[in-house]
Amino acid sequence: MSCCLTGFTQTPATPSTVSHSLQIQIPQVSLVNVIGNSHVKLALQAPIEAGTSITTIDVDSSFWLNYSFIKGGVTQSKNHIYARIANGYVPMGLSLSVYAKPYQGIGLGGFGISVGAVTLGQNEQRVIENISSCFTGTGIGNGHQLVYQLKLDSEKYDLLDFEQSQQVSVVYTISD
Amino acid sequence: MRLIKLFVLCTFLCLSNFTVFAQDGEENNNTVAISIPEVAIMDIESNGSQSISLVVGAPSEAGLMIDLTAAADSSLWLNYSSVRSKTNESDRSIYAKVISGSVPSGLKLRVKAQPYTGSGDGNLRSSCKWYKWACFDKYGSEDN
Repeated sequence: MSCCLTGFTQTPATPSTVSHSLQIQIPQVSLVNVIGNSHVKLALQAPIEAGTSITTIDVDSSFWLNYSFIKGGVTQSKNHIYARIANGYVPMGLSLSVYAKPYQGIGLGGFGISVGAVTLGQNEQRVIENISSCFTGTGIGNGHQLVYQLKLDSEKYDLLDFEQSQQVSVVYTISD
Repeated sequence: MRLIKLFVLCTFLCLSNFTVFAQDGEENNNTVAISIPEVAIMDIESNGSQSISLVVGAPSEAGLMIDLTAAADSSLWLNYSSVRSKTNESDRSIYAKVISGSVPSGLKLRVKAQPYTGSGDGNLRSSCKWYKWACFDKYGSEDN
């Protein structure tokens, strides 16, 4: 985008004016990062009494999503963040979900809205949507805190297998 | 006292001689008209092109804001010459406005004229304040 500036002296009869052009360039920005201190470890709790179920109360919220985005008014007015499992798999009989908490931090602009708890799989799931031009700030405490939770799939209790302990990696993508 | 008398006498003689000499020459009345033009001209000068670019940098890390450190320019200079009528104008000012295009939303463009430096003379004023423009402002508004 460019604009033109002019200056003129305040003379009643014949003001003298002169102008020059000035170009303003704004870059396209679309960056996302996951910040955390440790690996997420979600463990199932063995029952202590015969006849009861294992429990899956384990929750981890040590990771934060940071992002920076500059929109394109016509071509890319909004952006969203998607998550998928890139490596490993969730053991049978269980499901892994992630929930992005509402934004908090020192950033500025139009932050995205969390879509709530999302069950993770091999396909991309939208976690945060409708991001406008903004930056979240960097590090823990800036952006959206991620809450991972392991859940029992009540229909598939029979598939639980203690030899299926897994390590999975989750990929986040900022994209329209 | 004698010295004063001598001085007055010498002065009188000198004047007398001058008057006599003047009467010998041809009479000549010269009219000298002194005309001072009104001057109000200005120019923008630069060592290079007068088309300048302000480039907003992309952040290097997710979560950071855009980088505005390179979005500044100080290569242009205002030159001006002014002769004004004291009765009509006590002083003059230089104004600036955006005449085409617009400043992108979310950004503001501002300018500050540094104090005068150079080889000029006269009553040179200076501005040390930042001025900004909105798209449809006639003139910039002060932006401290």
